[in-house]
Amino acid sequence: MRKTEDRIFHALMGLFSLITVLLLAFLIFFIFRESQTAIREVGLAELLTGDQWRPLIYKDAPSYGMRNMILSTLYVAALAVLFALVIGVGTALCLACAATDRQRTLVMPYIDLLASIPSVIYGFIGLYIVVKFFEKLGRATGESILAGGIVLSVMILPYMISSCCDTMVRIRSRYGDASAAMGVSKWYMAGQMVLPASVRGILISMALATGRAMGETMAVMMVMGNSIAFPKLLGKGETISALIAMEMGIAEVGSTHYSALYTAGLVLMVLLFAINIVFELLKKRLAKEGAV
Amino acid sequence: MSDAIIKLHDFGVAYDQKTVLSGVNTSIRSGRITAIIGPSGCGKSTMLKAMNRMLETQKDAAVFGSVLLNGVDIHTMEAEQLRRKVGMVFQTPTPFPMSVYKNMTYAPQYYGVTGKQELSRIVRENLEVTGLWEEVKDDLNKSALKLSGGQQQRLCIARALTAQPEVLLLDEPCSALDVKSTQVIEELLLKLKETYTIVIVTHNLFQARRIADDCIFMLNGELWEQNTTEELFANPQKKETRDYLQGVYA
Ligand SMILES: Nc1ncnc2c1ncn2[C@@H]1O[C@H](COP(=O)(O)OP(=O)(O)OP(=O)(O)O)[C@@H](O)[C@H]1O
Ligand SMILES: [Mg+2]
Repeated sequence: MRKTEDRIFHALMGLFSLITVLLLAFLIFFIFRESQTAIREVGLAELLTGDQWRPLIYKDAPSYGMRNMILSTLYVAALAVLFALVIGVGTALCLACAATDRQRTLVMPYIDLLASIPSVIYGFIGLYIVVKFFEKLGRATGESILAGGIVLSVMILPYMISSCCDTMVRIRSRYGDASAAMGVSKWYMAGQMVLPASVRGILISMALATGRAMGETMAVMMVMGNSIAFPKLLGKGETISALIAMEMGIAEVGSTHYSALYTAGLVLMVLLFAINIVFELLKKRLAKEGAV
Repeated sequence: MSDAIIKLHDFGVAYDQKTVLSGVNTSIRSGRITAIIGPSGCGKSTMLKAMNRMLETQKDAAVFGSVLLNGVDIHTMEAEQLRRKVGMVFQTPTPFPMSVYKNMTYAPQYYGVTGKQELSRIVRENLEVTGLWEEVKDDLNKSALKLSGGQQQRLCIARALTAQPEVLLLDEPCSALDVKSTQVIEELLLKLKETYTIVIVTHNLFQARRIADDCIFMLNGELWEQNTTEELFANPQKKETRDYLQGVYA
């Protein structure tokens, strides 16, 4: 019976969607509730704009200002996405438009494989290659925002390449013959047609990559030096996720410190939502202009 | 009688060792419309694609014999140069996912036309030829994907003309279109043959009869019979040709 099957299928789909939404709502509610103590005692403005995070003591009381962590998080993520964008889109274009099908199917699995390497390994390699490299160049310490951005960009690169490449291959296989029949070269096609037509796809992968970059903890924690200083390209910094990961274990349950860490988590979530909304708006805007 | 612009000499094609076209000797006469007809799978598209070397994009295709364009073997030419002279329109309309204007300037910009006025002129003239200008002139920046099927196909023809080809190859250009759009395109092709040599693959014998000056009947990968359209339809020399023409009329 087609009908009953359909109904069961729909009911199940509805149920699972409901569970997902409830789970999300619960998560937000829980984090929101846990952060109330800090918001009440420290004040939201101080939490967001204060530049001192001293859970033990600062002057005569603990201080919970996470401005620099917020900025570090955005800084590293922006660097990483920027690097990954330039390299990833370029690589994807070459793979989609210049490489033969054979070459592409040969290379792709290895790129996908890169995505499955645990982040602690990336941190490790980052420490021994990127950080060491900066130290060789004569800096006292190589741990820095830039190091974090580089390591992070390598981590999101495989994802950028394979998702952009998917989009571009789709476009090329649809319009490639028509373009070749006009007597233009494949590089012209890559730059003038495939790239512009992939902008939407690229934006989507950027949004997802940004999410990954901002949430990533382990590898950046290992190469960024974790200082609460104002983030500078070659200076140390600490991301929100690193802050939470490092201090959650030592904060006393129910304390202001504990609650302030939840606030940090809340801020991270809000940032991610905001960024996704921005990408969504960009996408809508493009669609309206009739790009694709 | 007009001269041959394209000549095929002992021409053949094999896909993956399997011969699908063999022993083809023919001439396409310039300034005329030549229709290629024949049952499905007989090699019409293959022959058409051989004329601008689009077969090369299929890696398992092997080509034998020679194809001459104005007496020059096309395999000694740069593929890009050749395709500039021999344009192609596909069965399903393939407007690029960009604005109408950019579709039209895609090739000219590659060939080095940069002036804004010059580009606008090319866009306008070719859209006018295809009768699309009146329909899209106020909205040249709209996505070409938003045009109707018939408009899209006319855009593709106009776009092929921006390369200023000598020959235009069309592979069943009307099979995805309704009667009205088909009629518009047929009239367009009749107008275009004053300037371009046209080769069209079609399943529609009425269409072949309406527009073609010459007609090539293909069967089982061979060029079975070729003549002026009038002669071929009125007086087919071979039994199979007669059967094919009649079978469809019946
Ligand atoms: N890429 C390919 N690889 C292998 N065989 C192919 C390929 N393309 C076409 N063929 C074969 O070559 C023969 C001729 O194909 P072609 O597309 O030229 O036929 P056609 O006359 O255009 O048919 P239709 O009227 O259905 O479009 C067919 O038997 C087909 O199966
Ligand atoms: Mg065909």
